[in-house]
Amino acid sequence: MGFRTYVLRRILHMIPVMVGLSILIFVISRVMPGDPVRLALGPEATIEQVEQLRRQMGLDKPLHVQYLAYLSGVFRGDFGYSLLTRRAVAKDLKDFFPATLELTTLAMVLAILLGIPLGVRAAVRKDALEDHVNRVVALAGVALPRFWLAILLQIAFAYHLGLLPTIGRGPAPATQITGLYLLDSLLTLDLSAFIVSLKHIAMPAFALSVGTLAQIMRLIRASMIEELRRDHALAARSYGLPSNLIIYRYLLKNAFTSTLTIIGLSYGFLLGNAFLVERVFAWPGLAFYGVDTLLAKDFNGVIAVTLVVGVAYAVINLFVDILYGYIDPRVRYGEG
Amino acid sequence: MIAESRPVAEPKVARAREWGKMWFRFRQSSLSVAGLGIVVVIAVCAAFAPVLAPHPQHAGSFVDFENSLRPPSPKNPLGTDDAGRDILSRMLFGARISVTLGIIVLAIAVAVGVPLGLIAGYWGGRLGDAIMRVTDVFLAVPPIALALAVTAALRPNLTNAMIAIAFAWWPWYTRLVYGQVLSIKEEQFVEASRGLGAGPLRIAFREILPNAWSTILIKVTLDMGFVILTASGLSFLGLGAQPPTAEWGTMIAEGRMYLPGYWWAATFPGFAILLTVLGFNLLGDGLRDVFDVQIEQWQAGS
Repeated sequence: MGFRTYVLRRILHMIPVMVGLSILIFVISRVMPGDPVRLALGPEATIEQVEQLRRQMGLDKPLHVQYLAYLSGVFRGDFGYSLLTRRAVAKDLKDFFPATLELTTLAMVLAILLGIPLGVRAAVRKDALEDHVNRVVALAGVALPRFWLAILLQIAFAYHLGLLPTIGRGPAPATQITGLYLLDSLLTLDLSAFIVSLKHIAMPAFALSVGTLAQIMRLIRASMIEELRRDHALAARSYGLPSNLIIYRYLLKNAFTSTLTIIGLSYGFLLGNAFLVERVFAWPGLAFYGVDTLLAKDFNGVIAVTLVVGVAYAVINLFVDILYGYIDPRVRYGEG
Repeated sequence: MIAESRPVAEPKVARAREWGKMWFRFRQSSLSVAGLGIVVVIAVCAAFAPVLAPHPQHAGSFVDFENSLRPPSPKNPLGTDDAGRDILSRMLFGARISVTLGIIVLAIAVAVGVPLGLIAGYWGGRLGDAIMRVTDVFLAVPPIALALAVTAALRPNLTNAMIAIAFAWWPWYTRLVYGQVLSIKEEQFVEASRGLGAGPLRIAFREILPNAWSTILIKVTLDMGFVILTASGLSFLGLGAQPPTAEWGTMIAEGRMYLPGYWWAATFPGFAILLTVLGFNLLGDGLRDVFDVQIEQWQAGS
C-alpha cells in the first residue's frame, strides 16, 4: 500500500471516530440534570420565555432529531448558540482556539528543544551523578501536578521577582493575521509586541511542557545509550570524528524516531493539562472557555470544545505518523 | 542443587524461591525501593490518618477563625488554612481520599476494560471490532477532557468525579488486554489446552488471562498516581471534591486565593500529590523491570 493510500485511509478512519465522539458527547450533555436554559435566563425569566428559547434551540424535539440537526450544523461550521457568551459557539471557538494552539505548540517546542539536549547529556554521562539527578528530575517532571507547578511559578516569577505578568495573554498585537500573538507580531516585525506576548506565555508554556519534557528526556536518554553502543558509533569514533558531530549529526536522528512516536500522544496530554494550566493563568484559551461552559452547563459549548480537542488531537497524530515515515523510511505503511 | 533436578517436586518451595529472586532483582534499584517506601508511607497515612493527624477534627467543616492562616509553627507544622484548620492534618486525611479514589476508579476500569479486551482479542469478529471501535472513540480525547465533560452532566462532587474518571479510564485497559491477548493466544500452551478439549471460556479466563495479569497489575500501579493526579485536577477546577473536603486539589484551589502572602496553604498539598504520583511511578517502574513487561509510562493517561 502506498503512502498516499495510507494517509487517505487514516483520514477515513478518523471520520467514524469523530462521529462516535460527537454522539457520545451529545448524549452526555443532553442527559445533564438541571435546566441550562433556565440557568442562562436567570430566575427572573417567565415560563413562556424559557419555553420560547427552548423551542428556538430545538430542545423540544426528540434526541436523535436534535443530534442530526446539530451534526448538519457542524458541517456548515455552525456549532449552535452559547448560553454562556450569548453568541454563536463558532465565534467563541474562533476567538479562543488560537490561544490554546499557541500555548500547546510552544509547550511542545520547549519540551523538544530542552528535552533532547538534556537527554543526550544524560546518555553521554550515563551512571554519573548528573545522570541520576536527571532521572529523578525527569520522574518528578512526570509526577508534578501542572496546576501546582503553575502556582509555584506565579509565586516565584510574578509575585516575588516581579519579572513576568501573573495572568493573561497581554494585549493583542496591532495587526492580527493568525490569532497567534507570537507569530503575528513576528510577521509584522513588531518586536515590542513580541516581547510582551513572550513574557505572558513564558510561564504557562513552561508549566505545561514539563511533563512532556521529562518524557522526551528519558526516551532520548534510553535510545541514545543504545545508539552509542552500535558499531557505526564506534567506527565514527575510531575515525576521530568529534563526539558532538557523531552524536548530533549521526546518532540523534536514529534516537529521535522513538521520541517521535510519543509526540502525538503527548500532544493529547498537553491539551488535557491545558484545562488546568489555562485556568491558573487565566489564559483566554479553548480550555479556559471549556471549563466555563462546563460550570455554566452550556452544553453547546461543552460539545464543541470536546470535538475540537478531539479533532486537534487526531490531526496532530496523523501529522506525526506522516513525519515518522518521512524520517524513518523503513516504516512500511499499512502492514498489519 | 537437588531441588533443581526435581523442579516439580515441591512447587511451593519453587514459587517462594521465584518470589525471592524477584525481590532480589527489585532491590537492585534504589529508586524502586524508594518508590515502595513512599507508597507504604502513603498507605500508612491513609489508613491511620485519624491517629497520625495532630488535629483530626480539622479534616471536615471545622472552623477556628482565631487561628486562620497561621504560618508553620510547632503547633501546626505546615500552617493553617483560611478557616484555621491544620494543613498537615488535612493532608493526612487527603491521602485517605486520594488512595480510596484511585483504588475505586481503577477497580472499575479493570472490571470493565479487561473483560472487554479479552472478548475483543480472543473472540474477535464483529463484536470484537465493535468493542475496539468504541474504545477508539473514548480514546479520541485526552482522559481529563472526557472526564470533565462527564462531570458537567453530573453534580460536582467526589463520587461523581470518580465515576467520570473511571468512564474515561477503562478503554486503556481494553486496549492493553486486547494487545496482550492477541499475542498470548498464539502461544503453544493455548494450542495444547485446546487440543486437550478446553472450551473457549476456559481458555480465555484460565489460560490467557492469568498470563496478562502481571502486565495489568503494573499498569494499575503506574495509573494509581495518574488517576490521583487527574482527580486532584478536577477538584482544583471545582468539578470534583467540594470544600470543606480535605482533598489535595481542593486544598490547593482554596489556598490559592490567599497568595502570595499565605503561601503555605496552596503549596504544601501539592507536595503530597507530587510524592504520591512519584511513589507509584517508581514502584510501577521497578515492578516492570522485575517482571520484564513492556509498557511505557507514557501510555498511562495523565
